[in-house]
Amino acid sequence: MKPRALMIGFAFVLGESILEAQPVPPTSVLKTYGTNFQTLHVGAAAFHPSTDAHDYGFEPIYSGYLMNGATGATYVAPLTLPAGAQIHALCAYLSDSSEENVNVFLSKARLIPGGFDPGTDAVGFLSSSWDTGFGVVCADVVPPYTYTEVGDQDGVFLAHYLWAYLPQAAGIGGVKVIYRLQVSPPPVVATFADVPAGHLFHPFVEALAGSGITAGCGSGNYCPDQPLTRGQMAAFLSKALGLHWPY
Amino acid sequence: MASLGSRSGVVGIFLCAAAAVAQAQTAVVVAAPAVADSFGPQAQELFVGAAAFQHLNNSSGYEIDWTSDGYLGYTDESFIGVFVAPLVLPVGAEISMVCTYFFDTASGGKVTTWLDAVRLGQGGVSPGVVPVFGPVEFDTVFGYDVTCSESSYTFRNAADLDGDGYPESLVHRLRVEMTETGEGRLALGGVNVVWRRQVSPAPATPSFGDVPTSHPFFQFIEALKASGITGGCGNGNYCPNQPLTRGQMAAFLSKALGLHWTY
Repeated sequence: MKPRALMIGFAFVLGESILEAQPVPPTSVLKTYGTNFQTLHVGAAAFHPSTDAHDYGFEPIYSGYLMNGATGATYVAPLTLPAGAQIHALCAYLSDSSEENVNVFLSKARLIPGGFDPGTDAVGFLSSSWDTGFGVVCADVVPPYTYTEVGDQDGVFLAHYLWAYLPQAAGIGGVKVIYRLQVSPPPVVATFADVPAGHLFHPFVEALAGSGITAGCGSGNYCPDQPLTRGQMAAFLSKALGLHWPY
Repeated sequence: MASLGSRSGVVGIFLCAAAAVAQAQTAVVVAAPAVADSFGPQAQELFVGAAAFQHLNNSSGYEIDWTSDGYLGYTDESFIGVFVAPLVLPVGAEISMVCTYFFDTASGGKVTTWLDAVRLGQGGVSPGVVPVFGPVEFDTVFGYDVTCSESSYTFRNAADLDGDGYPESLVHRLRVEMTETGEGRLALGGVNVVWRRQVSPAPATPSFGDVPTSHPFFQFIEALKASGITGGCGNGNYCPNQPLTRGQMAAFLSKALGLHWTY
């Protein structure tokens, strides 16, 4: 586990994009899987006004940005990521021509049954800091927020939203959500006798068992040192990915 | 390319969309960004339903007809309307076909579809809309219909669209313009995007001493390395011919998929 080193490396990347305003280099291939950093681009077209009173439009050709009208208003887009995705930073692409800042929040809304008041907590925040023109603002999410859809209380579901407060005549082109996948922490009690807690592969074998991808090799064991056959490989992969439905 | 079976899938999605709209009548309707996250390099489909679209200029007078067909259209006759929906695909997804589903109660309408890459402004780069698919125009006749057109666009989060040597960050949106000059009601059912995954091109310099660029598995091993799924077998090697243990398999798979979060 080297979260510190990873974050320093990440801050360097972010710093590069903010301070020198250089776009992502072409060699940087964004990933969809794996535990390296990846980015979800939430475009302007995903944002809707948060109330019925609104005055906005999408620039059809020139910029494609969602442009706010005569008075400040808030726009919202839903955010869905894989459970366990660790969000490290947000970048908002903005158009601001006012003295007021554009504010962007990542929030979790608690959906609570049984008469309790729901509520919204901001887990990430950034604010524009320039006067005019198009620009990008990035902010680290500190500490990194692990995306889950169930809160720490029984029956509390979490819905995640990106909120953008746009002052008069400000606009938003989109929000980058920078995150990485994580392997789930292993349970305290091991599932298989031959893969006890502390085993080199314990978190990974538990993750497969928890996902229903493996039930072990029989007799309560997993046989972690046994070679894998091509046949077993086919079963692992097709179960892991839910393959293959033609439509 | 679009399989015949897609029609039944589309009907199911419409039913769901109609139900969701029915429940949300009094609330602000928020369309989820369409995220397709299926597996494998074969063609697959993402259907972006009518409920994901909103009007380009936020004008009124349109609705999703949730009592019958779930299509999005104007309540009045004779109009021009442009609707946009966000589109997110995995980076490297190659879009092979885009199909637009619509309904005209008369004839004489026109449906035009684009896929826009929206270049985001930063560092002196101005934002802009770059259509990467379309316009594909279709003159409507009476009834429900679909128009499909082929594409070969590879979905990226950044690309050098203006050729200045620096790639710009991109977001994508589907844009559909509906023009009804006659007496009919023209409505949008949704847009089906047919796409397939691609393994990323291999880098010029190999990451592992025992997997040179000429190795048959070079591209795939580099893809695992770049994704953080493997760090090799030590000493700068990957050991491509070593048998895999079941324990190693567990590490590969759970790291690849970010398994297993119970909530």
